[in-house]
Amino acid sequence: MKKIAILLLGLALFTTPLSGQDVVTINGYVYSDASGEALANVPIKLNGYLAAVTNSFGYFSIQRLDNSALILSVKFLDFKPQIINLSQQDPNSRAFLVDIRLTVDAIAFEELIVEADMDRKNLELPAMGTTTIPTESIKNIPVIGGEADVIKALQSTPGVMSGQELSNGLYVRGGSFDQNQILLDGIPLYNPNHLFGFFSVFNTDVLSHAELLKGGIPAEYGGRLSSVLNLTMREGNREHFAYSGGVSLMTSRLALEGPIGKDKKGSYLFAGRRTYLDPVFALANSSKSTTQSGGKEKISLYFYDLNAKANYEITDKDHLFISAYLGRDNLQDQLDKGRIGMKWGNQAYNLRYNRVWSPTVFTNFSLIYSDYASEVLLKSTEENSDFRNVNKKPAIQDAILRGEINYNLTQDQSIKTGFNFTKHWFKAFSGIQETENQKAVSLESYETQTFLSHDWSISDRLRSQAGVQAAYFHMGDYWALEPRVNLRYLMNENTSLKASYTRMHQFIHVLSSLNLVNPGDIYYPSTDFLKPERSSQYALGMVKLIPKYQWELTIDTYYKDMDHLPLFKQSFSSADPQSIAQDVVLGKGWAYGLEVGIQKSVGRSTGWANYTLSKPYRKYAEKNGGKVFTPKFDRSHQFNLVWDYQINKRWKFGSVFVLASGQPITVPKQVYYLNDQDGRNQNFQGVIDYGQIYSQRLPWYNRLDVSLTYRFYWFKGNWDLFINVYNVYGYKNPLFVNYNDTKKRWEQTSIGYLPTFGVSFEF
Amino acid sequence: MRAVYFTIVIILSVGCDSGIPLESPDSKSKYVVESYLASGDSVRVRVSQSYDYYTNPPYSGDGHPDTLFSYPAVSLLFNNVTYNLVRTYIENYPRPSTVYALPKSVFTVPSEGKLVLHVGETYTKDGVSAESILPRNITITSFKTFFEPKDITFGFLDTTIKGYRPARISISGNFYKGFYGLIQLQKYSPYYDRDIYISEIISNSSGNAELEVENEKLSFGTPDSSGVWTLTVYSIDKLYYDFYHALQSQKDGTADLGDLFVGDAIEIPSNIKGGLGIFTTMAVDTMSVVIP
Repeated sequence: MKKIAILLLGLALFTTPLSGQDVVTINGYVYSDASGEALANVPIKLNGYLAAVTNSFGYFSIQRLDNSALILSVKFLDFKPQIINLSQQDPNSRAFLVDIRLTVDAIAFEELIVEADMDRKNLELPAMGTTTIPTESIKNIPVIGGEADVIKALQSTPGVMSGQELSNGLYVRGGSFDQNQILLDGIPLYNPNHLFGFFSVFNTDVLSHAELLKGGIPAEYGGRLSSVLNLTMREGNREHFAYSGGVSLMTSRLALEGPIGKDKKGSYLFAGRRTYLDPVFALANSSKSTTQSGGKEKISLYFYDLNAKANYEITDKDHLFISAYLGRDNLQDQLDKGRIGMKWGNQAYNLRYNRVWSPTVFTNFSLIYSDYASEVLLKSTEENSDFRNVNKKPAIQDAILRGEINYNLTQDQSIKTGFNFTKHWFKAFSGIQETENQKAVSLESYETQTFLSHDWSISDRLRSQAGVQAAYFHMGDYWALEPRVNLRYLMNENTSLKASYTRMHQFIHVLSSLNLVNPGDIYYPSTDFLKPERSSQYALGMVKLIPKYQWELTIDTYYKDMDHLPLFKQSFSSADPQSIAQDVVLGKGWAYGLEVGIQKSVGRSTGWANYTLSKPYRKYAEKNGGKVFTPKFDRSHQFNLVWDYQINKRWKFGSVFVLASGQPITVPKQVYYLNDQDGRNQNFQGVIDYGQIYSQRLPWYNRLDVSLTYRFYWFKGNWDLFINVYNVYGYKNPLFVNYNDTKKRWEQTSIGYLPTFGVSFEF
Repeated sequence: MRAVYFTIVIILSVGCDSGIPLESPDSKSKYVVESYLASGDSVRVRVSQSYDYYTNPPYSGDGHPDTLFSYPAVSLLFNNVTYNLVRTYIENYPRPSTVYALPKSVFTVPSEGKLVLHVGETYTKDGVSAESILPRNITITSFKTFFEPKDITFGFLDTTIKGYRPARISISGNFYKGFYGLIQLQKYSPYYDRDIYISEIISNSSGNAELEVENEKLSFGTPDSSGVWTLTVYSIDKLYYDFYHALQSQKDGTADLGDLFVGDAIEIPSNIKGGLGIFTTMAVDTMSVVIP
């Protein structure tokens, strides 16, 4: 591993830059002409070949030795293709500063896309296992409650499992829900869910795009085993004041945006969202809810979130960005003899400064604060209750300083290097019963990462992206070296083969007894006992473009092994590091799979279809008798079909179909009785013997959701009236499963069809 | 507006309960062994059977059918000597179980060494087996009780009186690192002869132990602190520690059956090869203090 690091360093240091030669540099930003916002992930072609892709700030940089012909061409989503002939502008120039403004193509859906306009990023870049979904695609996917959700959209992409019905779980390539690094404008968010996982915290109105990295993760990312979910917020309209929003059965939302200053050197964006489930519950309370003792029970439940972003162009080379997020969930259950309360949420801020030092050097520095906190409140008026006054506030806070430098060494090579310094504060609790040994445990640690990544077009066919990340975690004094390699071999104009190796470490553990995202989850640092989780992933893949139909076919296969995965043995007695060693077991995991997907991103008919074969396994010495088992989230086979169809300028149809294996489930085998238990207390309760855990499977899962959207122009704005139906044919997929002892059969509670309607607007 | 909200509630309530084609696993009854042997004590082993979860017969009190494995042969191996245990009596509540024992005169649980238990149709044939290595001996060097005044309500007459209850006990001894302890505190008085508390399992890494006694759990006993207080500390093995906590967790219902939204099923660890239950040994020490 050291050899790889030395090799990379050597490459970076000794590769001769092109300075002094007859070099042409082309750099600049790509903007949307309508809103003035910078556009990320835009492929830039030079003389017909992919030369660069804009970064998350919309910036690109290209170097070339030959300036005989310099023709830039850009085609991105439904924007109009643009061709710029730089040779004609100034044949003698050696440096071109080009800001490209893309206009929306009003006739894109008429299928006038030419074959050469196909997006070739996935084909030509060495990165693999990357899924990018633009916001428009997310909005078209029908969901419960009419609230477009990026996590739900990602659940329909290859290699991603959702866990149980309705859940916003994200289980990537056999990894657990806590193994995903979720970044909103670079800010790590720890619990990305509202309402116990039914909605994500991401308001689609403010998102520019979402990018999920499942394998071949670049060296700049670290800290989680299985994936990185990169969410980029829009910058706000830089041309004029605009507002948009929507009303659905469960939420209302509003976003305001506009330019900053008369010279329009910057822009701002504010957005808010809130549910109105609390009055729904109030009505339900007044009609029926009673407690077991006959008293009234009043439940109140709501969430809200606020997003803000502002950017300002100090000079042509210096940009300042501020991003902020604040979200809260609040559940209050008023009982006749007490009350239960739960609150949780994130607040997160990021101040970023980026500078273009030269056409080939781009830097970005970030100062980040992220705070996730939850509060459990139990108050009982009963004399002998264990919960007379319990108030617990588990939390995790991060303060981060990050810096990165992008340097185009030559026309074929570029490097990216940087550092990340994080101070973590943890506040952990155990169970809800307040006793002396279950007090809050406050811990602190810091984590540092440095990385170097080298992108090299070795030949016309072969391209590599190799890097290494070195990480240090203070608690437990852990060092980690993580090599990352991506290789792409272009077989012909439309086919490439790819391979990758990714080594990851995770120093922060989520101690959860539920196997799903839970507001009360405990975030815990690595300690002497809780060793850092680690994984190695090997992947092979192929990308094939079928220009005739505008299809992109991807096939990925992978093997991933994981170590030091924590799991509760039975229960959580104390958050003290010494007690953790008694309550938690560390085990191994591995997964392999095959992902086949086909995607069409432009034209009247868009969408994707994919099949995932996934085989995750876990093994713990003290679970399941030391035998291997499949985790609860597993669905061995999953087929997804997402299809959007623009019927005409006013009507749009959207649909999602899912067919998947049933989840594993643990069911009892035997029951027995213990009379002596601890030698003096008799225990007459039947003890259940499960035999093997997760040894049975629920029936196959399938569901079809559809949506219909009608667009009209009213009061100088665009309005979308939509209706969508979740589970349109009302298939009975299990939500809860229980054994009915009277009827001697297993029974399920399931959701039938769920229609939703609402309206959204844009001015 | 109200009508709209009611509509939402109705829409959200679309759900149904129905049968699901989920196979219940095939399973056979197993021997259930329960034995907690403290050094210096006599041997006592309880043997019963497990039942298929889905056809578990309801409790019928006395007259319930006898154990499935009628009168198995139980033996104990120590230092290459086999001791055949004697069937003593059958308990029918809550389910039938047979108690096997050896008088102290025949065999006394030693303070160190390995014990191997066998339960089968005969003393040698098939059946299930378990082994346990006696934990290291421990010694209590001192213990103190700390009392705090409390208003104590007695349920029968609902009378409240002033009294004292132990708020904390502090124990010192030659407990070794990684020690798992089961602690029992008893009080004897002229009027009461019952455990006043404590039975709690601790794990200890420092060699000393300090426990907080929760007053709510002292539902009986005298409110007077004076008397003879007897402390018993058992040094138990890790298996028993995990077994005890697993039983508590399963009893607390932290994992409901089949509910996809709750945690993993709580598995009860067992060292009975081919069976269920526990065969464990422990070292023990006792100390009494008199509080005037």
